[in-house]
Amino acid sequence: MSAIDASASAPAPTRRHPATPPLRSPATGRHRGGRRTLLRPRWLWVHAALTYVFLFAPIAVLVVFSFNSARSGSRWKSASTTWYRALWRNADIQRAFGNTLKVGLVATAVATVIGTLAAFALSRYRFRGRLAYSTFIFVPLVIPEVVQGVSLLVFFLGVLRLQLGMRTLMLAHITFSISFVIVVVKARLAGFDRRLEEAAADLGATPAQSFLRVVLPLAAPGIAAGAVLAFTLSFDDVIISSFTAGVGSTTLPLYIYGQTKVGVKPTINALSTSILAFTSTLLVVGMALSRRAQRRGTSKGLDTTMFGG
Amino acid sequence: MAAPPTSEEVTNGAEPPSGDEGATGAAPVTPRPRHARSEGAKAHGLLGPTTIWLTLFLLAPLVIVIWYSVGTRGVINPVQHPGGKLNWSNFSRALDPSFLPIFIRTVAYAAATTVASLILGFPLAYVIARFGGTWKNVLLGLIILPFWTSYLVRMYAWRFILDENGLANTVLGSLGLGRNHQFTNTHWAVVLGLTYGFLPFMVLPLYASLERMDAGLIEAAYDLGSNRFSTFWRITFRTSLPGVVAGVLLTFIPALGDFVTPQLLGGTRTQTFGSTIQDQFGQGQNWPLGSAMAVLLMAFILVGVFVYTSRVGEDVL
Amino acid sequence: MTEEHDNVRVAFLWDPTSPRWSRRRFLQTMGFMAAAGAAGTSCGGGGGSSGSGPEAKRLNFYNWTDYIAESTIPGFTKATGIKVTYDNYSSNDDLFAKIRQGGTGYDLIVPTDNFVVKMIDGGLLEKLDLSKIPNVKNLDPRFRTAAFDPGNRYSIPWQWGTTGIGYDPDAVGSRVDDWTGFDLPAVKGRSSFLDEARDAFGMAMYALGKDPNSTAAGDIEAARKYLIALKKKVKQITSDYQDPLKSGGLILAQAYSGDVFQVQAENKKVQYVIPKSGAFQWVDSLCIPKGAKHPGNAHKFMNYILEPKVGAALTNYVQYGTPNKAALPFVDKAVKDNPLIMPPADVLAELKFQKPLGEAELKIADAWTSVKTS
Repeated sequence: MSAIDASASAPAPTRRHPATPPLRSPATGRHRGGRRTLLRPRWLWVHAALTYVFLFAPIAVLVVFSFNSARSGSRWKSASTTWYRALWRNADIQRAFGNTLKVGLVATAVATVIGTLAAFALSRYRFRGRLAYSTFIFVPLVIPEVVQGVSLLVFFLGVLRLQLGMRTLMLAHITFSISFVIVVVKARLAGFDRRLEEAAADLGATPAQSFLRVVLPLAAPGIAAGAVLAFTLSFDDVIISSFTAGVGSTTLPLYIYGQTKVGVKPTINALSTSILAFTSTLLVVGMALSRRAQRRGTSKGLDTTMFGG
Repeated sequence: MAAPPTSEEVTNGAEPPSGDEGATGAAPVTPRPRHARSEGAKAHGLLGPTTIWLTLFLLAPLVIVIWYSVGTRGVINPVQHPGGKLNWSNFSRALDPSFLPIFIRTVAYAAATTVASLILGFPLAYVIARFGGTWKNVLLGLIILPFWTSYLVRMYAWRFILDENGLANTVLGSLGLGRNHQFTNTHWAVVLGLTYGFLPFMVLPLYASLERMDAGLIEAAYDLGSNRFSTFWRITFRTSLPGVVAGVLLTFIPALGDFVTPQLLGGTRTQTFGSTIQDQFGQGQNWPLGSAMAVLLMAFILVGVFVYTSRVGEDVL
Repeated sequence: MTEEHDNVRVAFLWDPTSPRWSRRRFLQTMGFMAAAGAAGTSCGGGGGSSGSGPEAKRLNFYNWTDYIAESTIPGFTKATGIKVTYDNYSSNDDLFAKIRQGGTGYDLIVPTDNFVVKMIDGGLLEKLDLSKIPNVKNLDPRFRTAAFDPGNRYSIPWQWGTTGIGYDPDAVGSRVDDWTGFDLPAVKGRSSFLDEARDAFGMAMYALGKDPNSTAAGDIEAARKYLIALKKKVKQITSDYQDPLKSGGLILAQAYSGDVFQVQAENKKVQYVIPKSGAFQWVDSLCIPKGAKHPGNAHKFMNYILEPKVGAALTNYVQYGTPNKAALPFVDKAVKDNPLIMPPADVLAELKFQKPLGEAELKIADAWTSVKTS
């Protein structure tokens, strides 16, 4: 289970120490690891490793307890796969997970597209009220979750007369994700050199071409980061979901928080571990593919398509 | 309240531009004022979907919240407006000095969380952006991976680590450093939990802006005789400033409203403003008071953001 | 949505130089949103059903997670052909907020008794047709006459329990038989009480020797002071005490009976006690929200759960008390013979339900906010 290994022992990448090849500088490819920067790579890697340990400490606990036979997240009894078998049999939890994925993917897609458009507008055009608008997009970040949940509940049921369900859940999740996308993409675009576009135009590119070939690739890391944040927010949301979910749209967090009467069972740990294993496998495979592509001299690996660089 | 005027002001965008050009002047100057009008049009075209969306699903519900904040509570019907009368006393109640310590504590938690996230996150984002090479995506993926589990079980895991007879005490005990440390139910535990939860919100924007930094610039700075510190400060940090601001806002603001972490890792003295608002919609049975508190909290933060951006120039944002 | 519908919002979509362009843009945007909405609908599932006429063979059931035996729903579907959609909520407050708004699409909910009363008072529940629930005769008589809904006009009891103390005698160093257990020196900083206003105030009133449902201003004030003092001694005010109680993070907690039996499965040392000076009992009940689309199916389910073997399976699985007297012969011995799950009649006589307090409840809510924020 190399996938679990990779996630449970975060330092995997750091084991390959600064001396190994990946240190080609991303922007130019000429410099080998800022030998004269204030922040020395060696100490930076140590700091990074410790930060990964911090991030993965509870995850390691969770993974270990998913193999605990006891029905508890706090006392070790003996090793077993009970909870994986329970997970396999539990249709409720699978349905909840499916709902969570559906809502998360749709919300992420929509929020990323319209949020990115807004971020472009805010970062490249000046117009009256821009400052006010830039403040306005912080409202979803500022509004307490329970207040947003209750007001959406009243709005959906009382005003729009919508049936609560996947649809309302998606509408709500898009609403609270948009701002995160805008803020992150904007940060990436700030100080963007518009001469690049002019250069493209001089070379005969249409505005659409220069947008697709020049602007979008430069913005891609910001867009990907925004999308990832949006998905993460949606994946874990419980308060707003509890007010906007309806028949047949129980998500994983709602399922988990609903266990107050019977106690949270390690089935959740088993599911979390499975998700971790699956995602880290994806990461590793994607990584391997992109390296092979690079070795073959193809310029576009996953590396450049996902977070850029 | 900052929200409603906002939409009005945006509406005015169709009128000839003037005014706040000065406030936003830090950006690359557009030398062709004739085009300002069409820039506004283009901008509003791109903003359209977001504007419609947020007007419909954020501002409209927000009107309900404001309406609730001047209501009178009840047992069955949580908010009433008997005879259409507006009840402003919720605001004076929300400003009651007894909530002040809680408010200060909340701001302190959020500030500590933001500082801790920056200290942990900046070097991490920097090292990935600059030295990550082909590992970049894996390294970034590893930051997000923990968050595709469940919040509740992550916090349970922290509790297992930090509890009286938890992992941390066991390890410390076996090292001869004492095994009776009180970690949970302290302010530190709350800040730790919050930092854990918000770290990606700091790292990702930082990464996105650090990643586009041209290493050639650093090289050039050295060639021009700049020392390490000033190179870092004037090139690296300044390039990343939009990311820093975005990360700080994405961490600080949601941390102000958080209430679950203090509940799970905190004790009886870690109540936050967010949990107080939360309680008003539950066991406190006072939706109008909760709404008034939320309106004040939002106004407080939005005014802060507005003043800040109009001072430093909005392009940093 | 048309242009005149809301000119403030539409206005800034207008491009003053080319109105046509922006109108098209606007329509595109709306089309986009509609598509997003449609994408949502298509995976909605389990939602709609037709209004009048014979009911569709569906039942939308809203309950706590896993608060049901694994065999209950499959058994019901097998017996009736009705497909059940089972959704989960995490608190009575959330449930109430939604049901109060109406039109949630649920046919069956499981509020606790004090919320049943609120819902009845608010006209939020459908009246039951007991002729469709012949098995109601199987209920223990005390649940047929319970003060919160005498005669089962609106509710059929699901599971019941008490709110007492769970504790670890070894760690505490002595046996605990009353609320004074919180004062023991070994317990200081290692105990918790529930994050529920009425449960906490009930405990305080019992401890002070008052009527737990008292609304006298003096009593509420005394209870508030008691709780503020208690808050200084405990570790947390929380309803999430199961894991800490297992691991020893907490050694004494105000707790619901069923929770503690689940803790005992892992940590045999933990005991449950109904305090001498008294404690609340509670019951979660099946109800049909007003406007439910499948009330007939909901009635069928109520009747089904009251069948002796079905009711016994439920109790054997979730380990709370069963209100179903006819089910007792089929209930596991360990559950049935446990005086704390099924207390003897003399103990039961002392236990009280939370009484609906009407507007006075708000006084307790305020006092609770004061305790929490002190």
